[in-house]
Amino acid sequence: MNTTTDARTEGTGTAGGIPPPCEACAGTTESVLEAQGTPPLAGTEALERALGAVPGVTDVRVEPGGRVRVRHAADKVQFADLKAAGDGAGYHLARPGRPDDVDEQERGREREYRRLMAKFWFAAAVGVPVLTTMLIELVPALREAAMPWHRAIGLAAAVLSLPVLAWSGGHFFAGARNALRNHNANMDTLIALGTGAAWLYSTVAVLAPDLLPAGAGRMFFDVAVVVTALVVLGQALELRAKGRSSAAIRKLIEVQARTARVVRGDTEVDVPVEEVAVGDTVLVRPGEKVPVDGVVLDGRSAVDESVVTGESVPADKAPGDPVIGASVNRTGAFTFRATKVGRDTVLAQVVRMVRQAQSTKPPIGRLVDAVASYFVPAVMIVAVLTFLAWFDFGPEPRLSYAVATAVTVLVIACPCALGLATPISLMVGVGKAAEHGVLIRDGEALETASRLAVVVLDKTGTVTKGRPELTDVLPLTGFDAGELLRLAAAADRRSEHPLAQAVVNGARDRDLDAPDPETFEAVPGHGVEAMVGGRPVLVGNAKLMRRGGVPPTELEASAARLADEGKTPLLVAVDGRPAGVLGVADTVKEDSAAAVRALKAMGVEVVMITGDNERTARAVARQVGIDRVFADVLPGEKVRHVERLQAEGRPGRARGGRGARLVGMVGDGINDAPALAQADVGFAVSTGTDVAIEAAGVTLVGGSLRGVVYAIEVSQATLRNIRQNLFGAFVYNTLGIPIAAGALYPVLGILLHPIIAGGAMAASSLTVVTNANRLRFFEPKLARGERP
Amino acid sequence: MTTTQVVVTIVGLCVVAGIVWYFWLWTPGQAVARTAAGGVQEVEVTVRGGYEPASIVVEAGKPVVLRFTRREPSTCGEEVVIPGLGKRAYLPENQPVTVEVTPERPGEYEFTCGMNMYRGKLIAR
Repeated sequence: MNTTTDARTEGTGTAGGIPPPCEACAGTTESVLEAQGTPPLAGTEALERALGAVPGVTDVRVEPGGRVRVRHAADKVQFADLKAAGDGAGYHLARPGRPDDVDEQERGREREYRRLMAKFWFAAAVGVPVLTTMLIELVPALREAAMPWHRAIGLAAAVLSLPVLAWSGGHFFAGARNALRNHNANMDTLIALGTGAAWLYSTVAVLAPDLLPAGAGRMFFDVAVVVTALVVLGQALELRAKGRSSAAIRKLIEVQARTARVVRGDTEVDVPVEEVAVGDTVLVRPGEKVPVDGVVLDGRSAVDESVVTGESVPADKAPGDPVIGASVNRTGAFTFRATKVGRDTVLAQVVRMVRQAQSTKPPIGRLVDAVASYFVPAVMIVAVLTFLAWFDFGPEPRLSYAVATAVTVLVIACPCALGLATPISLMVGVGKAAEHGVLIRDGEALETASRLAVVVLDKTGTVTKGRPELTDVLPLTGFDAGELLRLAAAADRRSEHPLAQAVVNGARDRDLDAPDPETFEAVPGHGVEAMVGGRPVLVGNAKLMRRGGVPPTELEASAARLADEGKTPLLVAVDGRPAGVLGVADTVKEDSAAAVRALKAMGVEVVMITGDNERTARAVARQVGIDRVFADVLPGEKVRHVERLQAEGRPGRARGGRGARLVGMVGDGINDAPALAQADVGFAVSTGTDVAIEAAGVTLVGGSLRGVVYAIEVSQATLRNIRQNLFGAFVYNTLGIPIAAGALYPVLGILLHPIIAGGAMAASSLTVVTNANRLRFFEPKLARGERP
Repeated sequence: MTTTQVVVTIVGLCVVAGIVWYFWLWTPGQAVARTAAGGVQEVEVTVRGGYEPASIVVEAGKPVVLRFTRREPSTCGEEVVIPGLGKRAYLPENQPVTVEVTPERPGEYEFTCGMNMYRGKLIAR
């Protein structure tokens, strides 16, 4: 629960992203709590006073939204003290723990589901006898036989159906009344009007048949009861299905660790994950979950980060490497220092981003929203006009037909299908993307990503790993490759230059044991000179060789070849003689080539942009299969290149059809931020410590280019799903309403029964939700299939 | 046409006119957010078949605290969404839920229920 910025971190400096300690608060710690409960926020002074009175508390800040920051002496104040003080002021204080309220929402849904099902069974139980009596009326022979009891049967049906309307359908009437008060109309209004009108008319037919014209005494109690039952059942099933739509988010929340093993002095203590503080040392054994974000202190392991990054291959962790909360430790035990806890962890950020994205609207949904707001009153008007048309021009008994058709119009119209079509698909699609480490910022980014014509890839850190690696060991005749590398690595051991580090790591990866050099000197701009096991070793460029009196002639051919391949040649001399050349390069990520192939297969043009020289850039582009390269681009010029690509609108190829081509830019969130913002969709490659990247429409948590392919595929699938839903809802309503009004009657003599209409309405909104849920099983073909 | 038909038709057309007026032409009253001590603007919104108040005037660029309370069991209003400000909140029945937003630019920010049937707007000036 503690977010520490205090004495505990002194001495370790500001490494690992811990904010520097403030001067005034040495020896104190800050606890972040959440105030829940009902008192209005205007009254937070009482809470501030109460907390401020707790001994040891130095400062209290209540932020809007209910977050409370309490600064207090590090060891004197316990959570229980603060909680008690909060209770006294009428606030319930809680530790900010699980990042969401999904559990509660789930419980609420379950309660509502059970309530709806109870209402359905009651309506169904009453519905069967009522339907039977009404069917008797339809069969002439039976009707003749039942004639003496006609009135009694009608009265029984009226009495039986009343509790169905009042209880099973009670929420329709309450909802309609509430909406009416706000000058609103919704699905409740339509169902309440439809079933209410059917019941009232039938009751009049039973109690005062003389008020109605002869022959117009048809009863609709079955309509009132069965339509109520069907719509309630539809709502219950829809509620269930909607719960599944947010499954992705729930999964993200559930993967959190519950406890953490914190090292306190010499002992290890198991504590709830909410109590891990920034700066704590946490021990993780094989098979356990990493509880919070941090930096490895000691030990090595492979950690499965797939829950957050979507990357299925476990990542190797060594001291200094970041670890992400909720990832699973596979092979070795290690300790790490917690750097982010509670709401600040990557997982919590992911959950927040996904929820935020799920609440936005893609542009495709806007027109529908405009239509939806006029929809229900329009249906009511159509119902009135239908009534008038049948009453004025219809066959006898006109009044019965007029009531039946008006009721059918009211209960067939399904505003929910229209309203749900876009958000429910978006919710599933965005959640699905998050499962694969692709975080889509909003509906607009999703829609644009589905129509990209060009994707620009920044080279360093996007196509390539972003750090040099040893790629070639080319000894001259007479030298053993292992020995050459061993000596070079020994000479480079104390150098901090990235190229030297690449050599040292290369030797380690090949299990070579590089000894510590006796002497070592780094020559800036040249390389290193060292004495290893009594042998003088030079590692560097040609200038270093000449400076050391070693003519590099024999090495030049190999060096030039490596340079042609876009690699940096490191010349090595041993005992004053040329010994060989090492090649170091920023190597391409394993799956970059596959991702580029997949993008091309989708018809997306792939362009690479880099500040490197043309030769290096070409070499990398060749390896991954990119044809178009912008090299020697200064960081500030990337924006202009993106603009130029956007302006290259070739109408034939532009799927957007708006002239300019939609351009996606993939890069890191810092240096490439302006270009990401300029692009129609910016894809930020995150290595997993910060995912809320401002300039980006899409964040790739795993850092793999496959994420771009996945983002495009899932966007296209989601958009397709939304279109299906909208098309379905639109066609359903535009066909259903006229048919309900009796448009087919003059020609074909077909008239829809109101019960069928009610069933169709219940089924249609369920169909939309079910169709959206199909997206949960979406499997990317290209992002997966083309993996090397 | 019989007299009954004429009367019924006239009544029906009046009902149509009434629907148009009541649902489309009627403009909701506006509520102005109350500004608390810290410069935070606060509004209580009741969710019951719609939002009361449905139209809220706030000052742009300053934080706004909206406290939604759902006073109906219907799940229609169980979620409130502010698409323009990227907020979504779940509203348990009868429990106030605080949504904090800062409309940076003047303009209208719509808030709706999860299915877009209830509508309200923040008017930032």
